[in-house]
Amino acid sequence: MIKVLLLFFYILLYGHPHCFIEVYPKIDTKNNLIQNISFRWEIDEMTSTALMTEIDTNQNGIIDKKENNYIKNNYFLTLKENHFYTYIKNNKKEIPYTIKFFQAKYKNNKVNYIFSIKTKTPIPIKNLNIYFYDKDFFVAMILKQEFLEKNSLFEIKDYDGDYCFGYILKGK
Amino acid sequence: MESSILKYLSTWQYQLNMFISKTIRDINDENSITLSFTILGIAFLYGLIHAAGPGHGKAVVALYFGDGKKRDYKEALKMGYLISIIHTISALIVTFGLFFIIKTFFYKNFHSTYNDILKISSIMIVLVGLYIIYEAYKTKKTKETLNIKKNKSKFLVALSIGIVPCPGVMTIVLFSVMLKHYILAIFSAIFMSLGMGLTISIVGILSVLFSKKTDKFIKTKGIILQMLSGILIIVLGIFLFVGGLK
Repeated sequence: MIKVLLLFFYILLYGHPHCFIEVYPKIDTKNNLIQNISFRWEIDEMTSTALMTEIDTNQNGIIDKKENNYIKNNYFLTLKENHFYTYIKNNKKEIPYTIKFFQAKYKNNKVNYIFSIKTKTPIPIKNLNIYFYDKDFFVAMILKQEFLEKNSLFEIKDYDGDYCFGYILKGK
Repeated sequence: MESSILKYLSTWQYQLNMFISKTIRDINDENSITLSFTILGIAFLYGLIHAAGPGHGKAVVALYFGDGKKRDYKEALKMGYLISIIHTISALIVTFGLFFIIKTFFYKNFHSTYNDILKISSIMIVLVGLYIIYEAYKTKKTKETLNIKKNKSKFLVALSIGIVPCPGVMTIVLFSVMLKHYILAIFSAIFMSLGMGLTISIVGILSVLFSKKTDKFIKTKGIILQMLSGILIIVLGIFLFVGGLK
């Protein structure tokens, strides 16, 4: 009985996704080293619609400069405490990174976040592991092989977190 | 194993979410009836799978019906649907309230409103736990048999869980409202809640079934089990409250 109760107790403690983000990575390499990492997040249509009710104040269906700054400061940079749902590892060591650029766009009824990140030192392709997950599992990060460029030097694996599910982008 | 379940639950919800949004957007004068019924069917399925994921008070329901006293399948079914009805009414009130009264800043207000209601819900869950312990103490003191006044705490349990609006329901309602399908918004919420109610009821029924299997143990140790159930519900409430403070 106790085991059953604890199982239900355990199940309640982790969340479940209400928002779905497709991740399109773009990784530039040179001499087997990572030079630049950028992402395009495509947020699901329902969440995008809810977001646009707030950010598109002039309701023209375009995210202009002022609205872009609003979304950056209120919705994107605040994700820092969630590591932007993106954890970069050189082998097994987690690498800190900073956001270099951010732009939000509204295209095909979806809000897109386009941003790039910068690590202090270049990482060898083979050692790169980028984990995409929300530890609270309120957001589901979706990464598929077809989201990568053709002949990509990277492959995608499932990530089994304790309380969530995500994906890993691995250097080949 | 658990992650595989999470992977499937997440993938199915992702596909259903995309299908619903695309179908709602495709509605026009000619196909509105066919597509509306399709959406309602999918909303039911979406609710069923959505509630199968973590949350939605299944743990509280399992603990409530697993305390050795409330051993009635009908009660479990009623409880599941009572929770989902309150869940949906709450989602409709919050969504329509935020959309029509505040209109702008929907997303920001949604999160703060959601967190406030979550705190109220967790306090109520703690009260349910205290009530169950009080009931067990009273039973022990008066040496009564394990016949209980089922309805007393039932509504409080349903209210404490259901009062938190389901963000999944809210997103579909808001999306439909944004596209000016107001009636569809309400009916999708109802059908999604029917799906969620079924899942929550199944958890309650399984818990009752488990209780029946342990009948002999319950007859002798029922009060301890009831006390334990109350304590775990209190701990759950505290965890939820602390989680809401983040």
